[in-house]
Amino acid sequence: MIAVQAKQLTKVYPCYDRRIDLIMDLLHVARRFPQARRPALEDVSFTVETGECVGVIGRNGAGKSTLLKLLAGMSVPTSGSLEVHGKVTALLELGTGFHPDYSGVENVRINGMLLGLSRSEVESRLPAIVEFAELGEVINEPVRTYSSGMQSRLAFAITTALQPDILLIDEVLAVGDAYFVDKCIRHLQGFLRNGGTALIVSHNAFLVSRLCQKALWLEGGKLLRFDMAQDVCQAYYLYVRKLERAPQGGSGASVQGRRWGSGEIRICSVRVLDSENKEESSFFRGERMVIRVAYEAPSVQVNASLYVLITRHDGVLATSRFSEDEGIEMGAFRGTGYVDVAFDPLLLGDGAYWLSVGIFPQKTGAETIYRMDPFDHHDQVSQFTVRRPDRPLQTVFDHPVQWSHKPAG
Amino acid sequence: MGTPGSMRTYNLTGSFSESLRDFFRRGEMIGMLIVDDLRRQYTHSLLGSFWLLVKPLLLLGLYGVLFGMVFQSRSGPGQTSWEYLLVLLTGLLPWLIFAEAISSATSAITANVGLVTKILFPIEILPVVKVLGTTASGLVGLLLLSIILVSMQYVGWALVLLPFLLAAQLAFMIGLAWTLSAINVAVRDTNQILPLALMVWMFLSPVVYTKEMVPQALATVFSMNPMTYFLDGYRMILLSGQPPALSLWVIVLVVSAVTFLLGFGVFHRMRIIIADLV
Repeated sequence: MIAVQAKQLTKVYPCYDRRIDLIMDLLHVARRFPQARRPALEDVSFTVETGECVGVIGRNGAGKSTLLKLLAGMSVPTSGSLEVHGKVTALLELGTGFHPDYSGVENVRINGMLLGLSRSEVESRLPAIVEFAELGEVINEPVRTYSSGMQSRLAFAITTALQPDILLIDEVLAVGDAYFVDKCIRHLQGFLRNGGTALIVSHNAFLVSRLCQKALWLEGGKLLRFDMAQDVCQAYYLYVRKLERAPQGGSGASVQGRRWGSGEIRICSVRVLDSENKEESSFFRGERMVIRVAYEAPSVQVNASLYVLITRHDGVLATSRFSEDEGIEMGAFRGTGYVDVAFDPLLLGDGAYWLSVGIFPQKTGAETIYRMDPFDHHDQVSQFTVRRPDRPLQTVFDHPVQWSHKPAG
Repeated sequence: MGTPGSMRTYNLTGSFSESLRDFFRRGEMIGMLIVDDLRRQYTHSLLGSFWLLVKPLLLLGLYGVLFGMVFQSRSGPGQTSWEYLLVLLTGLLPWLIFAEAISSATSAITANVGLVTKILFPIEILPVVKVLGTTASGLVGLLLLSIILVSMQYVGWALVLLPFLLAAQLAFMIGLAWTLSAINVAVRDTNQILPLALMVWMFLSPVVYTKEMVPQALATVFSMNPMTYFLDGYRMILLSGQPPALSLWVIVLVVSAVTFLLGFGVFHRMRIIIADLV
């Protein structure tokens, strides 16, 4: 069953030369035409089935909030059609309409009614709200004495009393301490299990891939991708990282990171290969992955060491290997050649990864833990993604374990 | 979970009649918001809701002293200053109810950006809440004046008509409030123009004088002014103790109903872009 259907949805915020023209136009006093402006949302089409949870990601100004406002019915599309089936609740901001002088309970009563509950509904759900907020006796104190985290807890607790068919959330899950965030997420998961439909705007791609089956990626008001949450989030992160790497005002063609070194040995290329030695950028966990580092050494260098660092898109250091640490002697580097680093099997969890590679001279004994004197070092020289073949889960890596079960009897 | 396919609770794009029906179902929320509005005005004040009484008492007392004792003014041959005081008050109190409510309701939308843009909320009730909330203290004044006039036997059974006249005036005010608050979202000058417009309007209405004192040359202007009929009605009921003429009722009711519906229509048209503008 369809919960939300958008067809060629477009929103252009009205902008007339003078505001009075807008009134003339709206009230049919006289025909006036607004100036042409870049649409906040352009030609966006998608369908959300009942019971689905869809994440909405994109950079600032991509049109995420505009989309949510259209879905909530707080703003009207300029063109295109939008069907929303079911009762909608929009959590665009927590605590709107709170009065600092009223106690927590009084604010619950007023806010509950502002959000569309009747007086009797508020009264009957009041105990559950108070319990969810877990504020104890403080609930009877004026809200002005609350910390901002406590206010958020109270505000979110009120929204748990609403029983919508479709829940629209704009970045409001990141409230309070870790414990309460987790509680909010569990509440949301319960809502989804009971057949609720949700659209969640978040910058936290990890949260989106944890909660949502699908994700919708907006860029400059246009729908870039609407697909499985894992795939879209990874692609989005790679895209954002690429933008971060792009030189200011440059073409954006260079995706490579910092490169430095003394140059006695130079890295010519870094390739990521699959089990058939073909270049590949997406792997399943458990497959064989080989990093082939081709070098050029004008003079002979003995026992150089190779360094490989893999970081996940969100900055987590996934793994780092240094041949020297493992006592591997590489022998002499002369002319050209390559070094293979085989990951077999690949144990990394779901995610998009950056690869950094360095070649270092033989250790002289004077260095500290960090080697700052490479022949050549390439930050984020290449990228690849890893997917779990079974269920998607963004673990850092899938540690091999041994199971054993010993029944007592 | 609600029934699949059911409408959302608040629908921006509903038809005029749907929206109007929705509006009349929101009594509970309006009531709650009026009480809340009054409470907000009086929290952290020493006298609290006693202010509702203080303001009209002070007004009645001041004018009483000023006109009854200082000015000794008279509005016509044979009229004592006491009588002029009553003429003044029966005009001034309904006018103040009108003017105060309109000026505060005009910014009802622009002063509540959060409710407009952050939650799914039937914003058309905001001007209504402001009109009714602001009227509360004026009502107390009107009640006090009625008690005085009843005890002095100016008023008879015609007093039972007062609530109807007042209801019509409220409908008229709500209609204006919808129009002005919606326009004020787009053109913020409204808030600046309004005090001036109300001042001019006051002197073009029989507030500090009676309809009978209007010169013949200006009679047409006054007959075009709805407030002339409302004020005339109040004076008929409160001073003459007579029920206003049927023609006056017809004019008052038609003007109120038309202004109410027209105002709702303007708001209904404007509200699809209000959230985009505030």
